[in-house]
Amino acid sequence: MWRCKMVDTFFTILPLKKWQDFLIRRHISNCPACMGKLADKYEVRTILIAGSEIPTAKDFWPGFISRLNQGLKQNELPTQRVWNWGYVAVGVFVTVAAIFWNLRTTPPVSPELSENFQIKSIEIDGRPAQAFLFKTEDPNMYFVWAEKNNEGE
Amino acid sequence: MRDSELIKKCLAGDVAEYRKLMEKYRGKAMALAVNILRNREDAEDVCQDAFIKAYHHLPQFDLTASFKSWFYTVLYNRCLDQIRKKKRYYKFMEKYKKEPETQTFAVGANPGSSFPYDHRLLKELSPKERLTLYLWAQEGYTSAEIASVLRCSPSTVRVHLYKSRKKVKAVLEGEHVAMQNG
Repeated sequence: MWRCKMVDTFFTILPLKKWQDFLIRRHISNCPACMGKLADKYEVRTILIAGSEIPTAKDFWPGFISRLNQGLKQNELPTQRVWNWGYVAVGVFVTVAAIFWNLRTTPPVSPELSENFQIKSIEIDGRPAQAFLFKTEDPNMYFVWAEKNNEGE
Repeated sequence: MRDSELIKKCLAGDVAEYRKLMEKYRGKAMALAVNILRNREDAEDVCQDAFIKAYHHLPQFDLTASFKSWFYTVLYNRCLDQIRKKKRYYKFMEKYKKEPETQTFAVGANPGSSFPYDHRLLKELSPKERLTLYLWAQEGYTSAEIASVLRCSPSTVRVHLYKSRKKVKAVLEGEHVAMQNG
């Protein structure tokens, strides 16, 4: 009996199935005491659902044929599936390209001064002055530098 | 006619020959599925799915192997899929069964998924243990044959068998003692 207990202990503590199988084949399956702790086939059958308790299984053929035909229709044009995936890929590519196109920084188009801004004359103290126009990156902002004309210029 | 000959005819395009295979294994498939799922409606759905899946995978089947074992593998995997799919619903049903004072009410969510088989001891076992015990006790499978169904080694099967037989024995003895004590 001590051998059976030892085997039982080893079986519990050894994690590897190969070791456990070794113990089963070398001792457990040859020991009446150990085999007495296992349910035999008759006892196992008492807990299983017997065939007599199961009503006759329905005929699966009509359902099988119906689903087979449905499957055939879905798989009818494998090339169509490839084309569909192609359309999806093109659509995704176009969408991504459009997003990137909109997000890119475009250099502001320099407006012609004559279109947006005109200085007809600048006077300082009632006398014509020189004017210099500086355009910034902001298309709505210009710097105007005005200075008196030097005598004789 | 042998299974391999029927399968050859199916592969040649004669779908009607597959019906003979279905007729041959319909009952056994249902018995196995019912023992794993403990529910007839689910077992029928799973069996139908398994037959369809097996048909689609016939070109990959090795004609020298046992169609029955191979089909059982397909069926077992479908049973596991079904169990995973309905895990939450089954958990609720298990709780409901354990509460004797719970009032009965119509299960509107899935009226087909009931537990008509009150084999309480079966629910103590995992699906793998139920399959192993069923094949061993009802079908007379050896460890090597069960291993081909479970896609594992015979030593692993022997260990599963040992543990599940020990569990069954313990539960049966516990029930026996409980009955003696009244």
